[in-house]
Amino acid sequence: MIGIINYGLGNVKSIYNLLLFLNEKVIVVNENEDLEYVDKLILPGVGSFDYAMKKIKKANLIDSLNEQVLVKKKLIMGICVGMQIMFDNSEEGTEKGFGWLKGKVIKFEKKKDKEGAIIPIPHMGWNQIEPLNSSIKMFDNLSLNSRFYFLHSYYCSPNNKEDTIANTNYIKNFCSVVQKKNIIGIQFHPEKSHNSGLKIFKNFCNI
Amino acid sequence: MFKPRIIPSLLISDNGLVKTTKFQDRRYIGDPVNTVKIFNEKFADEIILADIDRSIQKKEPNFNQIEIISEQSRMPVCYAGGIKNEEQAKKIISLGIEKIGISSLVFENLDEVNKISRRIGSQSLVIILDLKYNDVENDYYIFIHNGRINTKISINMFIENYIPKLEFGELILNSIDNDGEMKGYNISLIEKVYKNIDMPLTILGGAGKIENINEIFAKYKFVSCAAGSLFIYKGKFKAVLINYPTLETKLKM
Repeated sequence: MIGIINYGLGNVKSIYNLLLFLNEKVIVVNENEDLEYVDKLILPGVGSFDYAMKKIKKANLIDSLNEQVLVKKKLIMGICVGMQIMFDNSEEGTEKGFGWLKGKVIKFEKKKDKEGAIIPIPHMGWNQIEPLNSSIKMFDNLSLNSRFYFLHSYYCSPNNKEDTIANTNYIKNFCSVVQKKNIIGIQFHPEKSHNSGLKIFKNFCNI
Repeated sequence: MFKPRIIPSLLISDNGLVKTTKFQDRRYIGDPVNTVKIFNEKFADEIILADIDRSIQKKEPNFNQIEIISEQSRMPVCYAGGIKNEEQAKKIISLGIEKIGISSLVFENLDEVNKISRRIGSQSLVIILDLKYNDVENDYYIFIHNGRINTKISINMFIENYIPKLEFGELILNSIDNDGEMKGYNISLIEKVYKNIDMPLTILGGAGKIENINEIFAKYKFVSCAAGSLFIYKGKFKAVLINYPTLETKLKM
């Protein structure tokens, strides 16, 4: 059973519908008690780092999620801000993240491209990912030119370089997918990335 | 490689889909939810959904309809129409909508716009400007309430006086003059803006064929293209037929 953590932010409904479409058993986790029934977790997120952490605190989810992820070692996938809050902290605010992954979240630097055009921030739209290893389960069956929807001004910078499993190029090469054992973070929105996103969910379900 | 977006722009009035010409002559197109499903199947990059009467009628956004559309959509959605405060914006984001479009509120209550931005994250706040050309002044002026009220603020004034005070993630330029004409985008409008901002820019109004989009992409590497008529109508008699470039066509663009 997969649990989507509902703390008032993110595309809970669209993720729920996608997982049903994939014939997965799924529940929306509204309170700590629901966590007992699930063996995999999805942590969605839209919005700002601080606001997300405040909402999680308010929902009383910090300790229980720490237990689920660090002690019970359940597989968890964070999406967008849901990925960012898995790290220690962010330049976007002052709140502390979960710190399951060592590193911080950094703002994109303003830059011009080779032809002198300003590269806009946020990184908004469709882009590719570059897996750093061909045997990663999360990327099974993905074609080379798969594109995903990104919407962010900040990116994750893991301290341990081996945690990065895919990079994306925009302004610079940044970490777009991270995995450390049972902890997976995805910067783009697989729930809004058509068939390529569906494959990401399918791979997550099959791990 | 990063590519700018090709975005169907859908107008809602009385819960149904409509299409205008120069912001007038509304024509009923169909059901918004069905149309969104068709754009799912066509793998559209994103959609803009604008409920165009909400602000004038002083009505709240139709949260039920937004929720149904959001659940059905497998692509990102930008919703605009009737958003006047932080609570409404927050509610729409919690329904799974990625971006909030604001227009008249910018000229009514700038503080509230920035409050919304801080609450939902500035990357998710989109400013939509409806612009009309003034040939006496040779400039573009911003209109609100479906082109009925002239704010008397020109695009240059907006860049100078408003942009530094606003935190937002995308600017959509909607040409009232070109709306529904299907004769191509308003390039002189893009020229006035694109060097002066550092967030994503999207042009809307006037696309009649895919070549119009190609022209923009060739000239501006980071400008996205939105269109209504192009993706709604087929043929010179404007039969309603939802369409969108295939992935193959898009790769070549």
